[in-house]
Amino acid sequence: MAANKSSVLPGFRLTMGYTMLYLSLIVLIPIGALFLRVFQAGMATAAFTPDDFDDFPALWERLVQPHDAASAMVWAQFPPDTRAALAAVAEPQRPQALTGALNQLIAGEALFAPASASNVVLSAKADWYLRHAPRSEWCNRTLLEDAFYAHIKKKTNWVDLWLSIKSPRALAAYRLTFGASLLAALVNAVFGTLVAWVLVRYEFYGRRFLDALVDFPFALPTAVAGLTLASLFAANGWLGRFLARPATDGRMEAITQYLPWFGVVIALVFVGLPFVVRTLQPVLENFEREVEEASAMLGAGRLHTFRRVIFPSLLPSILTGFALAFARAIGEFGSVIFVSSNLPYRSEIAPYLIVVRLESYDYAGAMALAVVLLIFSFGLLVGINVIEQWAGRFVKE
Amino acid sequence: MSIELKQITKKFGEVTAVANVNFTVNEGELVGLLGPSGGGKTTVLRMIAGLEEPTTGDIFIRGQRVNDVSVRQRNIGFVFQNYALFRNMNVFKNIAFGLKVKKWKRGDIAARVAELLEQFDLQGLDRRYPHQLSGGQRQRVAIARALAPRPGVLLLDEPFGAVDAKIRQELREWLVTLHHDLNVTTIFVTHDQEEAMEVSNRIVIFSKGRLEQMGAPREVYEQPVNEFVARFVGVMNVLETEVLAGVARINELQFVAPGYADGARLRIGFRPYAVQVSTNLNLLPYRAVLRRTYFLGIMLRLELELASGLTLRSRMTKEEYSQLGLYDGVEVSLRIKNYRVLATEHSRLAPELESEYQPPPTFGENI
Amino acid sequence: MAGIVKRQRIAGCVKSQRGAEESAVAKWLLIGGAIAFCLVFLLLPLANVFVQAGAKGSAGYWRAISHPDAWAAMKLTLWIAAISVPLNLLFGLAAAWAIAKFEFRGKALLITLIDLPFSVSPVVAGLMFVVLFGLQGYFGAWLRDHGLQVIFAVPGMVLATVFVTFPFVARELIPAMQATGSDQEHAALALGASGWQTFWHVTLPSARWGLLYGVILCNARAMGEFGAVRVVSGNIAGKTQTMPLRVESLNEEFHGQAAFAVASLLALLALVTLAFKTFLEWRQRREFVLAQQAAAGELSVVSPPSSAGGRPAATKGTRKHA
Repeated sequence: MAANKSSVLPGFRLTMGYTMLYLSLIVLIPIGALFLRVFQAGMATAAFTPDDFDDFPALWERLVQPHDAASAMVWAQFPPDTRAALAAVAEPQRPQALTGALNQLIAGEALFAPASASNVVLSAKADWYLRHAPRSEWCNRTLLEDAFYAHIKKKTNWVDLWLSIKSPRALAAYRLTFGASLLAALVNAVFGTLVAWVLVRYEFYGRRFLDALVDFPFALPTAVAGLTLASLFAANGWLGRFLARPATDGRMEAITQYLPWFGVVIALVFVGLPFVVRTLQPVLENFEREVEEASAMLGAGRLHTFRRVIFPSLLPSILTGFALAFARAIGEFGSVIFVSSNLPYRSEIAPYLIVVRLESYDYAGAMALAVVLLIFSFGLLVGINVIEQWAGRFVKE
Repeated sequence: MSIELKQITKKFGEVTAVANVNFTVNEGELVGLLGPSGGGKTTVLRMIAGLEEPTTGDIFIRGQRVNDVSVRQRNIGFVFQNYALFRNMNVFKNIAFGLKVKKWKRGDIAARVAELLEQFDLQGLDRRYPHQLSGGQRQRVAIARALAPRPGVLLLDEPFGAVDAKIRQELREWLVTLHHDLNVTTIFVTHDQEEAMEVSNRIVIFSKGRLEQMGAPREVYEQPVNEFVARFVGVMNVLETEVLAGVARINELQFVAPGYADGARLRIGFRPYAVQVSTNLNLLPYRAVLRRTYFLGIMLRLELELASGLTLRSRMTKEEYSQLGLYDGVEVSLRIKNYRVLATEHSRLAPELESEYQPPPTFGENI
Repeated sequence: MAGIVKRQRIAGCVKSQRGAEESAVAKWLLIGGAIAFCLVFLLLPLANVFVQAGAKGSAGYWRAISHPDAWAAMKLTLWIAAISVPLNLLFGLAAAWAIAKFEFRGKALLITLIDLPFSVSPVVAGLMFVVLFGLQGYFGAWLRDHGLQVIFAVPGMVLATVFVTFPFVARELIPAMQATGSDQEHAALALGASGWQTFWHVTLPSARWGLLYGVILCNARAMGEFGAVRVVSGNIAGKTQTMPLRVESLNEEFHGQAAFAVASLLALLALVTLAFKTFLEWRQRREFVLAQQAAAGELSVVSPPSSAGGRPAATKGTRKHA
C-alpha cells in the first residue's frame, strides 16, 4: 500500500495507517464477523439428540398428553400415523422415538408448508398465535420452542439456514421489500428527473426554497419521517382521508390497511427522493445548452430533442440515481415500520423480519436474512459502479 | 441568402449586449464578425440564427422578416463554438439527425451522409462516437451536420477557437475553399483579427455591443474609422502628446498637427512599419538605441528606446534587418513616416498624416 | 407556435430561446407537477409534524418534552453524536489526506470501502455488532466475564452510530481536497513549513466548507439514526433510549402527541441542518463567483485594446455601413 509515487508531502504512512485501522475496526471486521458467524452456524451440528432433552419424561408427558395450547399444536403437527406410533412407543424407546419424530417434524414438509395452509391447519389457535406473537416465520419451530422452551437447545445447519432464507414468511418479506423498493425507485426516477429539470431549468417563485427542501429526507431522522407519513396517510390524516374507504365494519379503513404495500412505497419514495434529484442536478447544470440548440437548429421539435438528445445523455445519471434510491430503499427500516402495519406475509419488510427474528432469539435466522440483504447491496454497489463507468464512456476526451 | 439586420438592439436584463446594429450580408458572401470577447458578436450571430430574440429591431433573410420564425424553420446551419455534437450518437447519426427530423427517406439520408463524409474527408469514421475523434474531425463533423439539410445560411461561432494553432491554419484555408465550393452565405465569429482578415470577404467589427466598422479587410486596416478599430486591427504605437504651435509633442518627438489649439492633448498612433530606421546616425531626425529584437518567423519586431527613454515598436523583414546591419544595442537614427491623430473631439479618425513626402508603406500584409 | 413562445421573463431572468425552449404551457405544467410532488412528499410531512405536535395544546407538548425520560433521551442523543462525530471527523481528515494527496494502488477500492456503510441496511449494521459483542457473539463471554456490557448499552449504540455515519465526513472532504490539488502544499513545504503547519494553515482552510458540510450531515444522521441503534439498544426508557427510539415507543404506547412533540424537536434539527447546509452552499458559490470575478478583472486589466483612453462621448450610433 505504500506505493507513494508522486507526492513529496509527509504523513502518508500515518494517515493511511490510521485510515486502514479505523476502516477495519468499524467496517471490515463487523461485516466479516457477520459472514463468519453465519458460516460457523452452518457448520454446526443440527439434529436433536436425546441428550438435548434433559428432563425427558416431563417432555414426553407434555407432548403426548398435552395440557397447554402450544404443546397441543405441536402434537397436531405430527402426521396421524406418527402420532399413533408415538403413543404406542414403550418406555425405553421413548427418547429415540421422540427425537426422531421432532427431527422429522423440523425437516418435514408439514413444517415448512406455506403459511396459509398451516394457518388453516392450526385453525383459530394458530391464528391467535400469529396475530399476537408474530415472532418468527419459523412458526412451527417457534411452537416447538414454546412448548419445550427449557428443553431444546438451538441448533442449526446449512439446510436450516437455507430454509430460513427461503421460508415463506421470508419470501413474502423479500417480495414486498424488493417490489416496493423497485416501485419507489421508479417513482423517484420519474419525479426526481422532473424535479431536477424544473429546479435547474426554470426560474419561479420559491425555487430556492424547493431546492433546499429536496435534501429534507436526508436530514430528517427516519423515525420522524415514518411517524409523520403514517399520520398523513391515516384514515383521518390530511391525505389519508381522501384515500380511505369504508371497511366491512363500517369504519373508515386507511389506505395503508387495505393496500398493505402502499405505506411501504410511500415511505420509500420519501427516503429515496433526494438521490435521483441530487445525482441529476449537476449533470443537467453542466449539460450544454448548445446541444439542444443544435438539435433545434436542425429542425427537431422540443419533444424530439428531449427524447433523442437530452434523455439519452441523462439516462446514465437517472440510472445511477435510481440504483442509489433502490439500494437505500432495500435497507430502509425506520420510516417503513411506522407506516406499514408490519403484518407477516402482508406488510412486513425484510429488515423488520430481521429484527423480529432477533427479538425471538433466532440469531441464525436473522443473520441469514442479513447476509441476503448484504449480498444484494454489494451487488447493487457493483452495478452502480458499472453504470458510472458506462456513463463515463461518452464523456472522456 | 442575403441577410439584413435593421436597428437591432438586445438587452439582457439591464445589460445592453447589442446596441442599434445595422448591416447587410449579401448572397454568397463570407463575412467575419470580429471583436473582443463580450463585444456582442456572438449575440448577433445567435439572433440571426433565432436562438436569441432581438429586444428591438428586425432581421430579414432574403427580404423576409424572420423575427417571428422559429429556430426550426429558418433553414440555417449553425456550428457551435464547442461543436455541440450529440455525444450519444455516432458520426453518421449526428450528420443524419437533421435529415431524419425533416423526414427524409432512408436511402436519401444514407446517400447525403455518404456524400458529406466524403466531402469532409471523414470516410470510415461514420461509426465513431464524438469522444473518439480528434478536435479537427469533430469540427468537420459539426460543419457537416449543419450543412446536411442544405441550409441557405451557415453560421459559425468561433470555428477555430477550440483547435490548436497548427491545425487552425489548415482549417482557415479549408473554410475558404469550402465556402468557394458551396457558395453558401456564411457568417463566422472570431476574436482573432488575423483570422478575420485572412478568411473573410468583409469584416464587421464590434465593440461593447456597437458596430464599429464594416468593410473589406484591407479597407478596415487602412482606413479605420476610429481609434478602437485602428488599435484592434493590427499593432499600433500610441503616444500621448500635447500640442504647441500646431505641433503635437512628446519628449523629442514632434508630429505636425495643424488645426489643433495649443495645450490640446492628442493621442498619436502609428503602425510599426511607419518607423524607419537607419544606422547612419545623421540620416534621420531622432536618435535611439535598439534594445531588443524579437524573432517572429520572417518578421522581426524591434524595440527602440529613444534618447529620452520613450520606447517604440517597429517591424521589418529579416532581409531588411541584415541589410541595415542591425544588432541589439546598436545606436540608430529613426523617423516616423506617417501617423494618425487618434483621440480628438470627433469620433471619426482624421486621414493619415505624413511627416514629409515619402512613398506610402504597403499594408496588404498580415501583421 | 411563435405566438405562444414569447420571451420568458421570470423574476428578472430573461431566457429567450424560441424553439430551443419548451412552450410556456408545457413549462408551467412541469413546474406544477414538480411542486405538487414536492408538496405531497416533502412539505406536507414537515408541516404535519409541527401541526400534530401542537394539536392538543401546548400543555401536553411541554409535558412530553419535559418528561424525565425525554430529557434522558435528549442527553443520550447528544452524547452519542458528541462521541461519534469527532471520531468520524478524525478519520475523515486522515482518509482525505491519504487519498487526495497521494497516489497509491487500490485507491478506488479504498474509496468504495469507505462508502460501504451507506449501502448496508441499518438493521444489518446493528446486527453485526450484536454478532460481535452480544452474549452469543465472539466477545460476548469475555465481556460478560469482565463485567462489561456493549450490547443493550451505550457503547454499542455509539458503535452502531459510528458505523452508520462512517463515510459522511470523508466523502465530502475527499473531493474538496482533491479539487485544490497539491500545489499549495508543495509551496508551503518549499517555504519551510512542517507537515502539520502545512495541514493546519494551507490544507484545512481551503477545504473548510467541505469539512463543515460533512460534519453537519454526519451530525444529523448521528442524532437521527434509528434502525441500527434500535437493534443494539434494548430501548430502556431513561437509559438506552435515544430521541428517535423514544418517538417509536411513545407511538407504540399510543401517546400520539408526545411522540410528535419529541419528533418535532428532531424535525427542527433537520431544518437547522438544512438551513446550515444551504448557507454553506451559498458561501461556497459566492466564493467561487468572487474568484471568477477577480480572475476576469485581471484579464480586463491585461487585455490591450480596452477603453484605457476612452472614446469621446459623442460617438453614439452615428455610423452606418453598407
